[in-house]
Amino acid sequence: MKILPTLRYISRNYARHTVIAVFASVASMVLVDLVFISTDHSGLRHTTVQTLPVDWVAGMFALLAGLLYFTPHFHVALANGISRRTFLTANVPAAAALAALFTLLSYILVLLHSLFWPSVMITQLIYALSTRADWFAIFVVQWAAYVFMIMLGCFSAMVVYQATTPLRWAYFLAPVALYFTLIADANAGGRIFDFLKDVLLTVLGLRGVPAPNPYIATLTLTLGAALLAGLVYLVLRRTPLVLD
Amino acid sequence: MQLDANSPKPIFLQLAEMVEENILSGAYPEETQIPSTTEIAVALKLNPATINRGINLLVEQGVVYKKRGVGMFVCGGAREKIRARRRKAFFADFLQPLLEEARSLGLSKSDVIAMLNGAGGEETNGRRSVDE
Amino acid sequence: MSDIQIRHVSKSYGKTRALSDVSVALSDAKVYGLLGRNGAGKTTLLNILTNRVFADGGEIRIDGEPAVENDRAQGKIFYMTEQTLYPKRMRVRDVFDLTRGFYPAFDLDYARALAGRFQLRPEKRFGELSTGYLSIFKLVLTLASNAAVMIFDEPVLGLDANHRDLFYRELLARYQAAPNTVILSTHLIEEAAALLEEVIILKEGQVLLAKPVDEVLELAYVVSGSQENVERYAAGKRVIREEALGRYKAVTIYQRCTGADQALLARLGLDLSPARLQELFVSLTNDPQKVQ
Repeated sequence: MKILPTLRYISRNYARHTVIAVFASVASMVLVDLVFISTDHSGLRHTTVQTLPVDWVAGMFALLAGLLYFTPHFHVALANGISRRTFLTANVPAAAALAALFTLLSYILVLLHSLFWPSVMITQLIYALSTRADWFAIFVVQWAAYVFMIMLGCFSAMVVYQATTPLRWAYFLAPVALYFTLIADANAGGRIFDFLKDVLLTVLGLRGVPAPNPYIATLTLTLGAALLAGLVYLVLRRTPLVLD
Repeated sequence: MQLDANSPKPIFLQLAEMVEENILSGAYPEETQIPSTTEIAVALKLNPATINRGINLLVEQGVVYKKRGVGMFVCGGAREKIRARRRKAFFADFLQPLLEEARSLGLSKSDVIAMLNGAGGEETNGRRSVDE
Repeated sequence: MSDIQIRHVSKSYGKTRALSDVSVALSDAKVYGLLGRNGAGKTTLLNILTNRVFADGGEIRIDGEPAVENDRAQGKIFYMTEQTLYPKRMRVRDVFDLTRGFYPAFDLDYARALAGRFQLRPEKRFGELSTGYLSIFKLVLTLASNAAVMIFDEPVLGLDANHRDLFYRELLARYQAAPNTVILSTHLIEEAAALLEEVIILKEGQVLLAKPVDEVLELAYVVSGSQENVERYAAGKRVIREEALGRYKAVTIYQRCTGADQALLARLGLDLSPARLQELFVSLTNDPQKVQ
């Protein structure tokens, strides 16, 4: 098994990707600040805790990491005599490391921002987590979310790579279709919407009594990531080289 | 140096002959080293196996020998040995084809001998007299 | 070198049969020529050998180990495909580093030096390379890989005469320094013929012939002379190619020339000459029937 050289190769590209992600996160913070300053006429600025989308931006970049890099990495692995199994095995620690890096960086960014202007991330807002007191909970839930997003990206890349054109369209249009279904459903009483909401709130630990529970979300997201990784493996195992 | 891929003669034989030519001409003196397989391979763009086959032929004939760990060397007396062998083959290799060609052109053996006797500037004259 | 055993390998793409029951062994440190016309299955076979495409049936063993999904077995082979598997924005020197990561025996100094001799600039991006320089890049990478099995797929595609010459010489020097298994898959047989020790000819997905070049050439010969006599001689023999020019005729005969044959040739006043690999290849791959 040549996991180490494969891991090293993947990580090097992920590191480059992280630099871009940090720039985007900083830009998102600046943008939110600017919007807030320019629209705030009541002096709230000095009393409000600012909510920053750095974690969601990082989440998008986690998805992109999987989506953009998975196929090129697969090709390089094949070109260098690396088996599909080794390649996938190397992708798991690579995703875990990238997610950890994203977690750390978004935390640091918010911490730095808080020096000038009290602020929290969206995740903190949802789970009511204090930056300093609940750092561990923030870390684990964000880490799990990023891993999940990376794996979702890898899985989507696989669909693009392997699936027939109609299947590919179906996969990428499904979220849009779901959205319109939910709108239609909401007009007709919203039973599907309520059901989905219930499920989501439960698995993400947001129906907890007394407080939302980030650890339930961590568990769900980790299991989801594992499921996606398993699916990717099942497909990739039999995937021949495809070149257009 | 170039070998002729279109020649009816197999490449390894051509190679062996080429080495012999170089021994005869003194380019590879006796008891000196001849180029290595690698050098020959690279120079002639030839598969090493073909080269080894040609060189082995020369070894069998006692023209070159192997010094372990050093390379191939020209045997003492190799020039004379090659000459003797070629003298023996001279009739079959050169005269026989010559006579065959002469026969198909309608030249008799004595015509050929006459040409050989007058070899040099008169050769063309001799041929013209026959044509007429 | 490595011992490669290909046994009963088959592969179809939809209804197209790319390979059917291919069995061949490449067991020595030799320069092998993998020959075949376009679509004969050369690239498919190489892609299956290197675990990029899966066979429908049969198996390949490398030094006794299965070749499928096996890092150790695949680590012995270096094969850069016709199509590029590297990101287009990567620089030549980055690919050198990358390859060294996967092939520890990769000779970086040699790769740099050889790139210099071919005027391949290491700071160039992969996607900017012309066809010729892409070929150069591939062969530099493969020669420097130091892999036990080096595969070259159309190595001189787009190369000028000087660079082709340089490649053939460098390949032989490298091969002599460390005898590896070399597989040359090419259309340019004439040029490569002298370099090959053994040929594997594929035709319509089947092995037509796999033999040392010497033996192949000894198996065939060309007889030429007057049409009448040539036809008399060739009657009942396996003729794989005919060429006529007025009353002159030449045929390539694919079977051993016995003593009796030679006597007959002399009596009929026919010329005997050896077949050339290129001609033999053209004849064999044109022939509809399979020849052993």
